[in-house]
Amino acid sequence: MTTGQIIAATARLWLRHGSPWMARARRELTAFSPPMVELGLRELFADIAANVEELERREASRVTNHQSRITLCHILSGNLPNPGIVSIVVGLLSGARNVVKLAAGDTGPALFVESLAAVDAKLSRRVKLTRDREAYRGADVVVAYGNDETMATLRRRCRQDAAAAFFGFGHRTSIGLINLRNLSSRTTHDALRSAARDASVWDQQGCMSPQCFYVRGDATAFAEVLAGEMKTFDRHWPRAKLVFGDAAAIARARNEWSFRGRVWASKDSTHWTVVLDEHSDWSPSPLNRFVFVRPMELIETRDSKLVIRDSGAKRRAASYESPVTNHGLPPLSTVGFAGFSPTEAVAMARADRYCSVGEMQRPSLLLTNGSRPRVGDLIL
Amino acid sequence: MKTARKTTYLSARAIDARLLAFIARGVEQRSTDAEFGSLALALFHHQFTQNQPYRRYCESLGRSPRNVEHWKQIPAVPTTAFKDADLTTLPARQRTAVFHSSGTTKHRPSRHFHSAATLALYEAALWPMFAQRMAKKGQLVILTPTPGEAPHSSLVHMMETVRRRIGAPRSASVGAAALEDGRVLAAAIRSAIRNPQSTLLLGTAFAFVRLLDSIKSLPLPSGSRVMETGGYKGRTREVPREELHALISAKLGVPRSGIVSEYGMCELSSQFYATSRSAVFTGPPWTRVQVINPETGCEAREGERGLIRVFDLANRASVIAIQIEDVGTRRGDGFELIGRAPQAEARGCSLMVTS
Repeated sequence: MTTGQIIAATARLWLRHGSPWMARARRELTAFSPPMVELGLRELFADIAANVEELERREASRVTNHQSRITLCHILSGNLPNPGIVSIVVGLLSGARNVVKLAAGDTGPALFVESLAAVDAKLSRRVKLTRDREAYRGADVVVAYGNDETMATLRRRCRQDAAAAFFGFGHRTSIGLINLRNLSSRTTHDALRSAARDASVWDQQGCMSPQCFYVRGDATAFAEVLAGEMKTFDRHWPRAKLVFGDAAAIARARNEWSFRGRVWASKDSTHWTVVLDEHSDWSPSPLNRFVFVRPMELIETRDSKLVIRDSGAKRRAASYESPVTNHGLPPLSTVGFAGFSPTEAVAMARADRYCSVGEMQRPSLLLTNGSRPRVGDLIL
Repeated sequence: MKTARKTTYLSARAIDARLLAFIARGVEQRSTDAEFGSLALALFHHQFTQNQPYRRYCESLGRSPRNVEHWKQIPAVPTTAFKDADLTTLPARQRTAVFHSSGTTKHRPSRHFHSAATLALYEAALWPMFAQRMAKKGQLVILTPTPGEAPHSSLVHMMETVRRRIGAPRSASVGAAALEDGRVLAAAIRSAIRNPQSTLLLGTAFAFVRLLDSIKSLPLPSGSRVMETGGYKGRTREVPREELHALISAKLGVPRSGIVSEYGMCELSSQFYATSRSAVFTGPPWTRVQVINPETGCEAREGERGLIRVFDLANRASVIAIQIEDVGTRRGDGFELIGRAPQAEARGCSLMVTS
């Protein structure tokens, strides 16, 4: 069996009805509710099962025996299991030895490696799990996930202490662009349900989680119905129980925005929050299913040029060739769109990845998306 | 949970008269819920009618004097609302004073407007607690800018009011320049205590740190008392309260029983005090404190943490119910201050790589 085939077989173990691996993940990934863990991991492993062999075929063609002597160090951030698992998959496809520095409480990647051993012990031995902070020492390539400060520190250390190639994936966020004027009532409803899903999956902990939807059309109505969809999603896939600080950050933000904008929120809990903000361009979300809706006007569309007026009442000209700079926004991972054409979405915001709303949290293994290295990057 | 079915609308003058009578009774006895609630509902009615941004806010929450029947149901505005809007019942021509929040110049400060009448109320409200917790007389040294240097600081106005009540000279405030140098602060204190009369030393926590960092020992006369207030705002190193009080006690020779902490802000008109030993802040009878569980939005149980919400009847010209961004632990009628509630910050695939 090839590496890709072994990984696909492992992914299928997770997808089986009554999978013991999934059962363990539901118990052990305590940062999320068990239904949320199952939904998120099912989607991840379905994608891996479907696409890993094709990825191997496309990207791992240059792997040589020399590569087996390469040591690859993954430094994981631990906010959700997917990036770590995908990083290990990509590392294995590159043919390298993998040293994985786990974050505290991050059991997802460890469980995946354990399940890999159940399929092929030899391949699983190419992954060594560690909690050693200096795991990057001696590595030929370091792939790290974390905040920008952590990335800068690691990059500096790697340069000083190791002659390693460094791939850092720092802070980014995601937004949605919704053009209600191009949506029928049925597609509007689909877009709303999809938007709620994107803003809720993995409790908004990932960089592909939208923190804001910019809406052309009736943003108030959008926000109100979105709130209902967030509530429905939460009923099936509840958000995790929060530590005091995270709950306090949500309560504080709700208080502030209840005066500054309009707030729809879960009663007697912080489970979900939708804020309509008609006065500013951007404000960070405290996450954990707290999403902003901001109106946006498209004043003109002519010759593939757009003129946008955002909620901060600023006018911006944009085109496919010359997209707007993301003024005031943090670097963007993903732009999800509905009712806009891909060309319009690209013109309106610079991001690593563009997709339909509803797919924001389902990145395909076959598409590089700026959130992981390509297999080819890891082949020395 | 009902204190009154209906409130009749009272004019500002009538409310001021009731408030001044309430304050004049002093701070020895806690007010009953009924008397607090009756005045709170009258004030809510007044503020709902006269304060348009607040009225819009209440209406967005579906609250009005028609359905608010207990003081606990009065909608609390976040302190940030004082940055977002002119939260006042006062017409522009009556706004004779305004207190601003401190902070960076980059951000718009909170603005709390006062008229001559509400400023008089503010001044009346601050004295009884100060007199009870600190002293009614003594030699005053105030480690703040002067009123001329900080005309929009509620803290400076409070200190100036105390100075006038005690009858201390204008030079009691050390002024802004002295605050930049601990040695100058020490010199000001040495000069003041040449007369060996018990001293009331009042100042911000960062002023005390600056002072304490520059001296080995500067014993104050026997019977002296110290009041520290406010945060650090990045002006000096931050010292935990317990450590700060130990340093004050060791270097200034004031026993812990002579040190008090004050908690106030420009969005409030009353202050809360804690003794050095207990660390539990309590306020005057015309205030109430709730500690709100952030997850449920309900009042926290005794000993539980939550966000601090203050009902301050002396906030006559703005809003009496203020949701503060600070976290505290509920302790009886008061709270133990923990610190600032976390704020939303840029995150996303960005949890720290943990050790």
